[in-house]
Amino acid sequence: MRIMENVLTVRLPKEDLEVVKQISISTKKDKSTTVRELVEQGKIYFAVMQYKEGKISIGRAAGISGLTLSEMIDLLSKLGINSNIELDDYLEGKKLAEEVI
Amino acid sequence: MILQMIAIDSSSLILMAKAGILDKIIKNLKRKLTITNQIYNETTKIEAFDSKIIKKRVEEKAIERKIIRNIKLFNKIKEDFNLGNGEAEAIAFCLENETGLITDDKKAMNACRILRIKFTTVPNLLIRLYKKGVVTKTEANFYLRKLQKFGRYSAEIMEELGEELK
Repeated sequence: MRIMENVLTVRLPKEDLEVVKQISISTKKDKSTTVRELVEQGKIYFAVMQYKEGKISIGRAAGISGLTLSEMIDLLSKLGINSNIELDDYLEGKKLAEEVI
Repeated sequence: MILQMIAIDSSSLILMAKAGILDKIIKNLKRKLTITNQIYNETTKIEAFDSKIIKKRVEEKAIERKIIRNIKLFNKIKEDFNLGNGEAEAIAFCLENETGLITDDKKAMNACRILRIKFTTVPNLLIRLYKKGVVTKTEANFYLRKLQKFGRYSAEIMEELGEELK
């Protein structure tokens, strides 16, 4: 279990506070837990988008999201997000493949 | 006889395990499949099937586990190319040992190009298994479908792979 010992004060717009309140009511969780869960989900979304835009590798995306690489591969598959590699990359890989098999 | 090595990064290793093609590739490689500690840690973190098979093959020494010496180089590669720990270690290992890399990640490939490291991908190796007669066309198509599910290759690559399996 992760220890929640760090405190960060953040100013939020009224609308976002209302969303947190609504989610915490509907999920029957306190507001702190709700914000923590939203941050967790935000990390995953951020990492997936950075990967999709070609800014980071899949390994870095897994690291940012807090998921294992295996879980990140499954998630990208589930979301239908294509790998960034292109036909030229595949064709370039032929030479080494011929040397090793 | 001491086999030369070929490095692999975490996502390609997991991909091989998920597609069920890992053992066939290990058996037919002319080089020893080699991973670093970070890659071992990244690929064996959870109690999933892919994690268990990788752990077992490392225990059996079918996959070699090595360490990298130059931590500074690892950190520089990681930051310069926006890579994860495993990818950066794999590339540092390739530079230290003058080996090629199996990777299916674009960022890692670009780092390889800049650092003059030869690379290949899991579909490239599957096609070699087919061309060498290790797997039949039906088997190759079966593995390709599984690879596509987890590797999420573009339509253009899939079309090329389909042509090569004709």
